[in-house]
Amino acid sequence: MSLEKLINRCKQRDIKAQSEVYQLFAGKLFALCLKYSKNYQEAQDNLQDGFITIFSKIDQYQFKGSFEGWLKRIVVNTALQKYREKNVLNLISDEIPDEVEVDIDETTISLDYLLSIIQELPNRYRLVFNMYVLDGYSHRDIAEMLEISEGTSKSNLSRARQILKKKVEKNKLEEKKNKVSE
Amino acid sequence: MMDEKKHIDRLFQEKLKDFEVFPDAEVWKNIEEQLVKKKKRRVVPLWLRLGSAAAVLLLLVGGSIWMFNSEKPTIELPDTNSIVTDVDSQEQEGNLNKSNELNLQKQQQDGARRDEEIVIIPNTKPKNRILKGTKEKNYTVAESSAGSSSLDPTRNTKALNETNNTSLSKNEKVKNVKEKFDGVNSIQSTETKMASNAKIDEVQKNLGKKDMNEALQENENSVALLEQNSNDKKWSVGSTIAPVYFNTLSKGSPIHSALASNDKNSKPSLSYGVKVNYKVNDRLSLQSGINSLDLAYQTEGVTALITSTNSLANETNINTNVNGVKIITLSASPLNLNSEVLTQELAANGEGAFNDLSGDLNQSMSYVEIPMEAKYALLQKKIGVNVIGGVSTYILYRNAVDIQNSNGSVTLGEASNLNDVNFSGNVGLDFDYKINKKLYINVSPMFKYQLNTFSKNDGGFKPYFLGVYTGLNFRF
Repeated sequence: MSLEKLINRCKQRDIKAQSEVYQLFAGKLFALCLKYSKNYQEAQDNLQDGFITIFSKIDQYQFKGSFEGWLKRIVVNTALQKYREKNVLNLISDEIPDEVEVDIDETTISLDYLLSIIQELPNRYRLVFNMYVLDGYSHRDIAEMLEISEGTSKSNLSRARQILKKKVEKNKLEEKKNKVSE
Repeated sequence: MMDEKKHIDRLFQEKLKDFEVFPDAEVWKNIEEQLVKKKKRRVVPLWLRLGSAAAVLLLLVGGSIWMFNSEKPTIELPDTNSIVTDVDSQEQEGNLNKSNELNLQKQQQDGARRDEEIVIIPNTKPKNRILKGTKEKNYTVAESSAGSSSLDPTRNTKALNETNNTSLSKNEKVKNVKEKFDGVNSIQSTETKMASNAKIDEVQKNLGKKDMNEALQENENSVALLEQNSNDKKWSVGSTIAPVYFNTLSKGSPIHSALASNDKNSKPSLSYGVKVNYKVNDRLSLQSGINSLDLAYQTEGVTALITSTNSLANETNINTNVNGVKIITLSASPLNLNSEVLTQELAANGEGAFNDLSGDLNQSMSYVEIPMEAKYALLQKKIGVNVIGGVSTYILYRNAVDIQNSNGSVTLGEASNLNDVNFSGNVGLDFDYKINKKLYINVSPMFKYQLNTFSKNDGGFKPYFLGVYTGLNFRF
């Protein structure tokens, strides 16, 4: 069955089609949720809410642009919505820190370590870093979506990078230590 | 400086590019629950409901008239359906078996390729693994090095994805067992082997699923098959028993016009039978069955004048040959015939004796009822609420009129104006209570309006009956 047919059946609230769409995209969208959430449980909650929104608004998808892109936007918005509601985004200072240089050996670092340090970032740093670096939003988009200024977005991004660099470096050192001790 | 900064961005971009993780199964369960709830809450416009009910009714009426005309007023329709379905499923199975061999090879190839992938699924404590399991490699990641094909969300790779999914869970199981015996350290090296060495019948089970899915995608008629694929129990059978109360919407008497204004009442009688129900979709089901039905009503205060001759015209709709007596007239009590005049008249015709019997006139009719009804669900919780509409076909097998007073009862004969086959329009409610997945009780108050009980001279009698049908039903 083509994706288009599947989507049309979802518009008729066909639970089997909905299940298929879920099966098709849950993997990617859950990965997205994991990046935007601070832990596994929150990511699952976001995924769940995201899919509910997807299926209730699927009539609005008019086959313009990729379906996956549409799904991702909804899921990202779902994740952002939580923080907007909780108003936890305004607690972080706006000062732009000095940038720190780090040399990274890509091969030794694991995906789930990277994921875990993303999740450990303060909420707004995490969102800004994800949106800008991983999902290609501009600072202007981010400012609008998070209801912050562009300057704040930029400073949050460099703070996020700074924290991530430190952690990656630390991890690298530990790896070396482990190798030596082995 | 800029280079370094981009470097860390690129590190994350590259590592997280094709990153996919499957959430716990409970996530879909929760979503499904909410979706189903929403669907229920959706209000179907009234005209649509009425329209579809009318359409179903029309279909059923047409169907039963057609069946009646072809002189086979039976309920073979559901049976035919079930045979057709069986054939379909057999064909389907046949196809599956045939393609199993081919796909087994394919699967093995897939399996071999899968060895190169890091395909792991979360189990009991996925949270910890994601967050802290830096050294443990079995976190929740399906990162494909063979890559683009299984990640590419086009329709061609969908089946592949699904296969991967099902195999993944299999891997997981195998892996769990392995963990217990061999400890954590050896998992990395053995898990992929375990996957490919999985028991052959498990693989075949997998294949069955996969083939079904593929067949569904290719087959344009997939809707019917999909429904078949699901585990829904579509059929149920049950017993029904109901007190029924027969009455008329208007005055009038189908026996004699003189009795039109007499009071009529009815004793509740019992209807019982069996019922078959076929679920068309979540909301709609069709039901049929066979019931015995005894209807009876009394016309109060009646006098029957009985003579052994044929000399006076029979003004009633009763055929009688009981003990050679002939009813010549019936009237409301007190006897309004001038018995002297009558005696003289009878005497003139060479007949002397007549009897008059006063009491209540009983008309009773026994039918076999074949209902054909559509049931639409309004509420589907532990207790379900449904509306029912449909028609019933009745086949008359007993027909009697008697007169009853304190001295006993005398059978006068049988009504001459009853149709052998007649119909009713049925509406009602149905409440069901699920005892478990297979058993449910239902209580269903029904109103059945008789359409053509009488062939002629119904005397303005508009009969209906009310019944509260109770049943124990078995789903399969």
